[in-house]
Amino acid sequence: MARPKKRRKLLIFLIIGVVLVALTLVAVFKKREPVITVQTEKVARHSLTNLVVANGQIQPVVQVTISPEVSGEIIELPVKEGQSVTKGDLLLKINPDVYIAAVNQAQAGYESALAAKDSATANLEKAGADYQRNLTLFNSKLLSESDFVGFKAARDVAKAQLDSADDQVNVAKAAVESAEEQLAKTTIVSPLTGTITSLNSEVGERVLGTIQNAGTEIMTISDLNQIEARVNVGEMDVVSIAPGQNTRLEVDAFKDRKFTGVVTAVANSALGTGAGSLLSGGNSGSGQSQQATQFQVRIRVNEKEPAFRPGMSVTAEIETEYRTNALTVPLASVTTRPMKPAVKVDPPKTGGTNAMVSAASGTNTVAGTNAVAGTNTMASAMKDTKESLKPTDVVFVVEGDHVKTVPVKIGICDDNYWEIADGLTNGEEIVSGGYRAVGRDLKDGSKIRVGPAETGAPEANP
Amino acid sequence: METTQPIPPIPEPQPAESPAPPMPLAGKLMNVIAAPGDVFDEIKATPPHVANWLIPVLIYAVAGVISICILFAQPAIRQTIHDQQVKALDKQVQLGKMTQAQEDQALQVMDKFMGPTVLAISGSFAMVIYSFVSVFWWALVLWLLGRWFLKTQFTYLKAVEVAGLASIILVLGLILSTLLAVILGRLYAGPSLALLVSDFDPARRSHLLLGAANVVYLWHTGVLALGLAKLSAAPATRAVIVVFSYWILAELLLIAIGLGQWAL
Repeated sequence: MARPKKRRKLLIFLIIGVVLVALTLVAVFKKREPVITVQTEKVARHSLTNLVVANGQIQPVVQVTISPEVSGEIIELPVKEGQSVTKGDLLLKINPDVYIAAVNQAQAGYESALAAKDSATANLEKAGADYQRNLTLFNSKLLSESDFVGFKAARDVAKAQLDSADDQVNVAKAAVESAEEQLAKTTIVSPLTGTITSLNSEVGERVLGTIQNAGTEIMTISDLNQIEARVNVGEMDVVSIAPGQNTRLEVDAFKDRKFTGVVTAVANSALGTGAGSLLSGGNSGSGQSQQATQFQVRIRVNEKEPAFRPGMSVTAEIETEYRTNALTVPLASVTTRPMKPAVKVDPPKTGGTNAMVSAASGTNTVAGTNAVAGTNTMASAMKDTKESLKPTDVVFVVEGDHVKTVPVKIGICDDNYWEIADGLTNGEEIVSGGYRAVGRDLKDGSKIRVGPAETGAPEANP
Repeated sequence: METTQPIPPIPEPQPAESPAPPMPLAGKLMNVIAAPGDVFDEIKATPPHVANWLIPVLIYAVAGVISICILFAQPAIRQTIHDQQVKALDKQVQLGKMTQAQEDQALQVMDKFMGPTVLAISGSFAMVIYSFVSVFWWALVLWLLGRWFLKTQFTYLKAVEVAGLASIILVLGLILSTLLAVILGRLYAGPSLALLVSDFDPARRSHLLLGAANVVYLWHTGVLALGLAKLSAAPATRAVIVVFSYWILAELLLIAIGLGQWAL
């Protein structure tokens, strides 16, 4: 009785021992590799719109700054900021006294010139009559030639004096016109129909005219019926922007509304440089800026919104490129890895030995040719290897429970997807998350486990 | 002539049978695996001895500590634990109890102060406590089941001896689970139906139920039932029914109230 019992015990221990030993051997000799939890998606086709986002301000398309041409004191300012004005409405008057005096002075000069002209005319008539009379005497041999020449010369002088007087009259007349014009410039009317969006001067202030210098900017009139967004775009993005591109606009003051627009102009030079700029540098700073190089882009707003005010902040999303039904992957799928190229060292061909000798070592020894040529080829290959270890855009393709690093060529992107121009096919399963796994942990051949997505509703317990 | 009957020989008084030598502790520890009935018979017949439960519990605790150290040395296991921690924090963010910034900060603190070494130390400490608590708890259960359902009385220390010796089964289970976890690279890889699930999720009740169907736990429970039967002199069938009923109810309760992970 005891024997079967003993045998049974031995059998149980043997079975347990075998199982434990087998499992231990498997555990010890099994290759261990970390298993990385990832999420996956399939490569699919989507339509993409590449967007360039830029910030700027709302400004009227037509905006005129009123500066006087003549200097003086403002004596009348019948408008106020925010007022609508029509073309031709009186904006302001500058004290005309000085200019009236100038007109009177010019007028007096003109009349004096006229009188001088009359005198010259009378002198010419007298000299002409004397000439005619003495010509008859000279022809009748009753006057000497020398005397006759004197009368002739007197007539010519009188004629020249008349011409000079006539010119002086013209000069005086022009002076009168100039003075009158200066006088007229003391009254400034609106050159356009619009709204006074800024008024910088008051009655009684002395303003400088633009004749002498830059001139005082008294007010700004804007046509608020045509509004544009002036945004600043970085130099990396401006090359893809062109007039005619559609734009989505978001004005900070109208958060719940979306506006649309069209690009109308792109600056030729960066903000702050000024020279040859397409647009007047309203935002240009003085001197060289330490900030990023930016270019101004103008976008005409399609919608009319009376509540727009110049200077309102706006964010523009300019649609620069479109792709329809392009092969795409989620943004988080694409990362960079230094890729090692497949270095292939071709053995030197015996048929081409002489050519390689002359190109490589210059030796004529056949025995040493292959080694030298091979060495040069390998050296250049090694040099290529080191130079080729550059970060490359890659995607991790799922192959069973491992991943394979696949270099890809990416195109445009939108908020969610990258276009894949080369490297993947439709329907391939690729790693789309987690962020740490894709960005850092995954390598070629890494073992993975597809885990549930970390976003979304938790699984309901059955 | 008288004939005399031969006097039948006086039977020699048979010497009293010498009692079977007490099973050494090592024998008890081995036999509880292959012949637990014999072990518990001796337990019932002999006075309580501390070594009968203390040594197995210490072996269980040491095995648990070694198991934890081995598991936390596995990169795959550490990754699994880290993923679970991230998932738990993500759930808090989804429920609005935590912001994303707080989650990122918590992850940084966890990565910095709750690395594998710290987790292994704290896990080992917990394992030692659990070893003792589980034996005493099972002893209490056996004692109460004996009193209430089998209408018998035995001392609590006897129950402790039974539960302590039965914990050797759990030591085997620990070794098996550790080896399977290392081979498969999964944290929850005991000899149970959970092996059929490729992506075991301790938050799912269905997965926990599969994990509870563990060969070693069933074996351990059966050994305890046998021990109860021996101590209470009750039919083994009755003891098995009573003990297994308790075990099933306890597992279901733990899973229902969200503590199913402790049952694995």
